Amino acid sequence: MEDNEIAIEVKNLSKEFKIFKDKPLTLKEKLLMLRSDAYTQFKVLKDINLTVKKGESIGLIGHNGCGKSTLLSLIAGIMYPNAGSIKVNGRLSCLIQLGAGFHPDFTGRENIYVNAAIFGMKRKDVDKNLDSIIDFSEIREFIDNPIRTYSSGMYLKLAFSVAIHINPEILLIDEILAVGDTNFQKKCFAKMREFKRKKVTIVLVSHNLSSVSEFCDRCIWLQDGIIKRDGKSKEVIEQYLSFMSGKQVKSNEPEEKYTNEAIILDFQINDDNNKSIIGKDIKSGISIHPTITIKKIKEDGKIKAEILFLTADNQLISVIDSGFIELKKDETATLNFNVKSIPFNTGRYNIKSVLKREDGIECCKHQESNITIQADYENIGIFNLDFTCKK
Amino acid sequence: MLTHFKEIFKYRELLMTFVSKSLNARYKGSFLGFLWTFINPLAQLIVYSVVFKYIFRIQEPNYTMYLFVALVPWSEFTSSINGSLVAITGNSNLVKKIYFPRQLLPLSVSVTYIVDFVYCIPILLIAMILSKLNFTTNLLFFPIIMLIQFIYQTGICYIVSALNVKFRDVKQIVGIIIMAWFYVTPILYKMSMIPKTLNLFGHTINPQFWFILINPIAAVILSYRDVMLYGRLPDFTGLSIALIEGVIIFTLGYFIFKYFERTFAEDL
Repeated sequence: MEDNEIAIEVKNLSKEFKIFKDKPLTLKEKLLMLRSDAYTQFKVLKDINLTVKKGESIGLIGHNGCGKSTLLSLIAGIMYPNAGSIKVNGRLSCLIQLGAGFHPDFTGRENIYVNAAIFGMKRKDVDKNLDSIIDFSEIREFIDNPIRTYSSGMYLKLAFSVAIHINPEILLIDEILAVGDTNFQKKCFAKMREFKRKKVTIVLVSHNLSSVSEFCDRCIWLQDGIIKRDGKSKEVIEQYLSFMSGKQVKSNEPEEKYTNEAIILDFQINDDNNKSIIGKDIKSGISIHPTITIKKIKEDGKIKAEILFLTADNQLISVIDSGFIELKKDETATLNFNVKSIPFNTGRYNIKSVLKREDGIECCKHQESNITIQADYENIGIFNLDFTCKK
Repeated sequence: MLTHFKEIFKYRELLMTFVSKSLNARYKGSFLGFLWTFINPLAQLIVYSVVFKYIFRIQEPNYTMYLFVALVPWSEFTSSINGSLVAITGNSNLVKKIYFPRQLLPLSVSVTYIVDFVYCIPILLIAMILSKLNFTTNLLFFPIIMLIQFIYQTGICYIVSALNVKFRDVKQIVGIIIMAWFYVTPILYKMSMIPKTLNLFGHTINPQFWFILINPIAAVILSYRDVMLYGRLPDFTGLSIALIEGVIIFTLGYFIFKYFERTFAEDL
């Protein structure tokens, strides 16, 4: 790779934090040893190597405390590494904090200049973009009021508007896209896409995985200070999600909330050829046949079975249910469902079977399975709608 | 060092923004406006001139003016040190979240108070006219003295702003030092009131000389007085020492700042 194609190059980067037991804050405390100076080393980042090409957009994901934000701060030059080097090639802007340097007594207009200067924008560039900044912020009528009179929404809109008008070559963003109402958010994303089209290198830290997958071609999953996965967004996010859901199972809820009056004996999902598809790859759009065998173990009563379809990050997609059936004590029943088509996109899905009483209380612990679907073509979103288009 | 200056130059607009922001912020919301900067030295001036003229009976023909030309630069000097104490700690949201050369923050405090000082010059000139002082060409040295003060003052701003991040009681210590500093600087009294010889552990020393040597701000204050009050040439030996020490303190302060800067984001 040519050197001038690289936007960010991180080599053998390590960062440690000192976690003080009780840090002496003043010279007095330090000299008189009023507080323990003892600390433990905490390695946030361990020997990270990372190369970002120009024009790439990268998502940084990982659970809280995995070092995403630290990595971003290091790239931005806010923190210094303990070991290793970071080379940044190009004008860098860092959107970690919105409204940096805003002064409450200044008017919105004055604050635009202060804030833009902190982002490294030249005054004449602000002059040129002033109208556009004000329009984008949607608060033109209040722009000459001091911002202490602003609502928090107006404040953030103005801050974001300035942030988005800086003209960077490399843009670092930390979890700040969720600003304002839905319309404003749409505008923000449109602007981000425009940056992407203009071949701005973007590094995005976010917990909002759908925006990462929509926005970034490449994704890096940080786990305990090392790069666990680095690759195509979709694949990395999927691996991340299955890892995270694996963790969730361990922390299961107590079982007391179930009435235990009926149990699921068996939960199968078969395809047309009567072969189990649980844990296997299937094609999008085929029909599936879930089968639930249930047994009533306490007194007679009405129960129903529900099958829940969820995405890997536990978003509910759809529910099908059997309707209530009357069962006597110790009676078993087999419920054969037929789902004509399962038009989901490529990805992993959880399928849960649940038994419910008439009052909606669950009878027993749900049974969970997962399937992996392969769609014929790459698409974003959850569904592939069955559609045609006349030309 | 050169690359550091280049970086500051690159961010000069931000520096100016910081300066104008703190100047505007100070004058916004107070109807006395600019006068606030001036009211503190003015109050000091009144108190000191009454006390020393009529109670201590200092033999100096124009004592009020004698105090005035020294109190204004002194008050700008100490204000800049007090301001720079919180230059980093007070801007933690910036330092923790955004990259820009950190050295701009204490520098902007120092520049702010020098600009403030410049605003005070017309008032000093008016006072000179009122007290019928002579305007001489020696006044042309005024900006040079200011520059020396600025270099020295900026160095100290760097040191205290960085130390205050690590130790939050530097503020108290600085308060004590400034209080003592005021009395080892010939503001209230005359240099000639300090004995010329002093026997220290069997060595004869000249305290006047040592005063100038260890306290560059003394030479600066004396020079302001020379050019404004007496209309004569400043003491170039004292000024040269002050300049050299100023450059040393500035360089030292800058590197202390740079050393501590590496952990600012974590210490805040």
